[in-house]
Amino acid sequence: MIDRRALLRLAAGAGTASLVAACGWDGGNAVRPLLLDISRFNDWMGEKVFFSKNRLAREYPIAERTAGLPSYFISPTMPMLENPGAWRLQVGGLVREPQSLSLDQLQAMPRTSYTVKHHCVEGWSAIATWHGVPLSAVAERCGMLPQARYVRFDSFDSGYSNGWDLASAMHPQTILAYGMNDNPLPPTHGAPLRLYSPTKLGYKMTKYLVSLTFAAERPGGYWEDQGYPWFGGV
Amino acid sequence: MNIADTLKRIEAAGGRVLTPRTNIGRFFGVALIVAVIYFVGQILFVAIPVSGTGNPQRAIYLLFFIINLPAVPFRLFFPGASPEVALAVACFGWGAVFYLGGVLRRRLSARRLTRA
Repeated sequence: MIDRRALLRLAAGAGTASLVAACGWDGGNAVRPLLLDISRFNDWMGEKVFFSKNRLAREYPIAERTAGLPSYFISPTMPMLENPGAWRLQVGGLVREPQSLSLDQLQAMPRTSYTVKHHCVEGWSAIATWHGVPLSAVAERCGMLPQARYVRFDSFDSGYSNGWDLASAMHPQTILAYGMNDNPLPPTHGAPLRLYSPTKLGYKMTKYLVSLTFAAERPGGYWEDQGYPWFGGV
Repeated sequence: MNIADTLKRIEAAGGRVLTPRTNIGRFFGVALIVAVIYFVGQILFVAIPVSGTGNPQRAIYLLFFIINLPAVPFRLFFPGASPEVALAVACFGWGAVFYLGGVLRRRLSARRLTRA
């Protein structure tokens, strides 16, 4: 399969790379533009080649739910609202009628439930049931303008945010989730409201939502600005 | 004279020794190596702290992107397939690429030797 000479070359290459990495050199600004271009091409592949607004992610029977779904947040302690009753979701940007929606108002809107597989960028996956309102229904309610091409989601978890393309945001399985596994959304998973879609990797689904903004320019994101793929499709 | 001596003599005379390899071993071997590289990349992705430039994360994602390339036609024909299945197809896809590459290389070498 691999001869001794090739193995020695491989070892020399790996050794040099390890030494460079151990010294903390990651390519710096010399390598960054190239990697950014490739990352954008990768995003383009996900958005234009693989993604379809009509294709639904597979749903699973409730019996296949995973016992425990790991939870993540950025803050040193779990983000909790001091006054949950005062919480509102601010919807603004390129819309005719900006909204300030309470949880009751969101729960009165069309409800979607599905049991799907969650894929984390770290390599694990788990199945859970999510309940919420389709984001397309919120966009319709506030009168999204045709100039809107992206959506920015902001949370109260240490300024965590994500940017989404409009096609992904309007996908029928993209919801603002207020429930999980037949119960209200727990604080460990982003209460009172989080973004959810089975077509995206976990870090794209903003928890602890406070606002969503329709925009014409592509917004950044907490992890996306630090090297994670912007599209983040499964 | 044993085979090893014969091969050494051929090489000493400037000839090229084509090491006999089983093509099916190359197919599965490459698929296995690609799978190992993928999972090492996954471990590194989690283990490496996010840097100021984000280059390590982008570089590892570039690696994932390259590994997944042979599965692009599969994902287009079977969009509902899970990422795990697509990864397996990608690994075997690289196995197939190297298998066919090996066959082609040997045929070209044989043609050159015949001409010589």
